Amino acid sequence: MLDKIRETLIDYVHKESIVFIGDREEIPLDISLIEAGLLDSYGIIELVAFIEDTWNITIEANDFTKEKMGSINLMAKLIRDKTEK
Amino acid sequence: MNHCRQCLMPENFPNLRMDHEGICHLCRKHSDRPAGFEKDLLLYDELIETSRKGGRKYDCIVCYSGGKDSTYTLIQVVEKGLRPLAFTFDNGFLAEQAKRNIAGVISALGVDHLLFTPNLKQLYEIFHVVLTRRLFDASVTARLSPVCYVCITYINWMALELAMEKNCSMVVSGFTHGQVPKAVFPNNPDLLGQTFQKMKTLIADHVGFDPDLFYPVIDRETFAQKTIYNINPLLFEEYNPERILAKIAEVHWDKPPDTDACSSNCLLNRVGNYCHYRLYGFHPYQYEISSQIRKGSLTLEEGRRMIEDISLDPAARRILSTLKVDG
Repeated sequence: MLDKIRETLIDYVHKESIVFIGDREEIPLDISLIEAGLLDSYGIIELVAFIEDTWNITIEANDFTKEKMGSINLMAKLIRDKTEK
Repeated sequence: MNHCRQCLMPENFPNLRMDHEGICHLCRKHSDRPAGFEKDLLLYDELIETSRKGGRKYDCIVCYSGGKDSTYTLIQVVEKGLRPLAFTFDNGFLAEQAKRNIAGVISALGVDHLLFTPNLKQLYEIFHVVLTRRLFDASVTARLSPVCYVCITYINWMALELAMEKNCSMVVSGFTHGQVPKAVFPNNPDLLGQTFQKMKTLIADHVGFDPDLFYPVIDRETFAQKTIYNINPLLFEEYNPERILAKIAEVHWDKPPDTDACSSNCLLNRVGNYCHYRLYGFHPYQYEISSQIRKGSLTLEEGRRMIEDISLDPAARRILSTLKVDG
């Protein structure tokens, strides 16, 4: 399940980011998408809206942290935990 | 250069994909409503109710530039029965008519107002740097010009500082479709801190002062204790410039005669657009204008006129000279 979530997130960044130019394989999994220059803070907000709609979960304000959402892998884990609840 | 037939997005815009019919991927996936529309509307109503019952002097901070959209937003906030503290950031290039508008509107609405001017010597040094160097990556330049980014970053942080000081849960702004992704979203110290720090680090190498001492400093721990929401009420409605102009005429707002087609308060905007185009090859309002064309708020012709308005007038040339930037 984690793999499928991760793939969906990678697809999103690859296709929907208004700034990412490159191959899907170049998208980093373990560093902040902001630090990597793939998304700005508004891009993250768009991504959160996508996550909420896709998995029908709510990302609370206190989920909005680097520890929980600071990379694609961390986001995938957060989504898995919320969908399994 | 090729542009999308439906929304005018240029083919050199970062990550834009054009299909064989000459239509961009943004048009193909376009939705009339921003993400999370219904949920955001409910949350906004809840925040309004909670804030009104809070018994505080101010229910929200309104980022009030004096332009038409933020004037309309300020009126809406007052009409909802909220007590706002309006906050204006003066970057040294507010149009004279914008200053008159600000004074007239806050007086007509009967709201408290804070006008803040930062250290202009340092701010101009930053403007010089971002107008002459390709300092920012596409995560910034796809949405706005470097000078707008410098000011808006300051305004966002200062509004948050004020919201914390006044114990408000809402920072309300007049952003429109294409400028921000959602009508309501929570601020987060980590996320904002990352983007803010990235910008300060980029600037620090080129200016003769410490950007940490120029920009507002927000205590992360205090920030983390309270959720402050950014609210953009214009995303809840169809953007209609005529309706906005009619509404703000009631508080005697007049369009400044000397601003460019994309601004109704700031004389630096024309310079920002010109230099952004020169540095990055597309208009900084492109994403916003194309969003509004998709939504039907602007016609193709209106959008084209705005995008093509990147020339310098004598006032803009004087500003370039003030900022020591070649024309």
